[in-house]
Amino acid sequence: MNIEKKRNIFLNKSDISFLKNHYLFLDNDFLSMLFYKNDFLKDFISIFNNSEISLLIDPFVEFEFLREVFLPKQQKLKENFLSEDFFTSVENHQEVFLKLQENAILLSRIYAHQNNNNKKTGSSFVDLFLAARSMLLKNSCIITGNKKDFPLFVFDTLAVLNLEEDEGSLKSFCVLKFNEKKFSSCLLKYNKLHS
Amino acid sequence: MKSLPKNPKPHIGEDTLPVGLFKIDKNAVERAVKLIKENKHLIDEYRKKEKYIFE
Repeated sequence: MNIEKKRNIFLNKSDISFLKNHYLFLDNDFLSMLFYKNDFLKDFISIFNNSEISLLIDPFVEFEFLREVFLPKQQKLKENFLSEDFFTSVENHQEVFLKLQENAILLSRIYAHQNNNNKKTGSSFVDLFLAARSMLLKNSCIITGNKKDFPLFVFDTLAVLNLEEDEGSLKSFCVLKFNEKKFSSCLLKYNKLHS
Repeated sequence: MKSLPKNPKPHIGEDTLPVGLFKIDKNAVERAVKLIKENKHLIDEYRKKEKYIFE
């Protein structure tokens, strides 16, 4: 007898109404999971849809998702997936980029200062710009499997989503929100270095 | 050429998006799920090459 393997998703909150009318930026690892795992997308939407969230794709995340795809069929498949209506792209023009650049450089300095310049704990270019984008856009959050790239001294963890894989292991994704108070406090400490 | 500003200022909550983006089209989700299922062989093949993402 065949037993159908069912994927399970567990959320650590029974009520996620606090996410209502929020913009949710997808990090590349989460976006890839939606793409690779059968039915995960459907299950995820069924959990979060009542909260009326908007799924946003940052241009750098899109770049990361599409890069190094050399087979035309696979490239087309990924592009078709991204072009579906439930994903929203965000602005990518010069004026916004300059603001993102300023946010990103400030975040990188704060991360370096708070981590005592430990290079191993540094975030990637794409993660810095994703964090910078979330700073810039009101009512936005980030969902990622790499929580350490969006450190606790600047971000709050709002929810944790666990995905049970076929072999029984769990993969966790966190919904994170930029905290202006934490950021300002870190920036103040950083600026004291120069005074 | 404009280089990085000497004294960068934070830009917090300055950007907004148009309202009306918060309804997820269930038909689009069904379409995407179908797309994934129909092309599972391609996706699995590609995933082997992209394994680093999940490590």
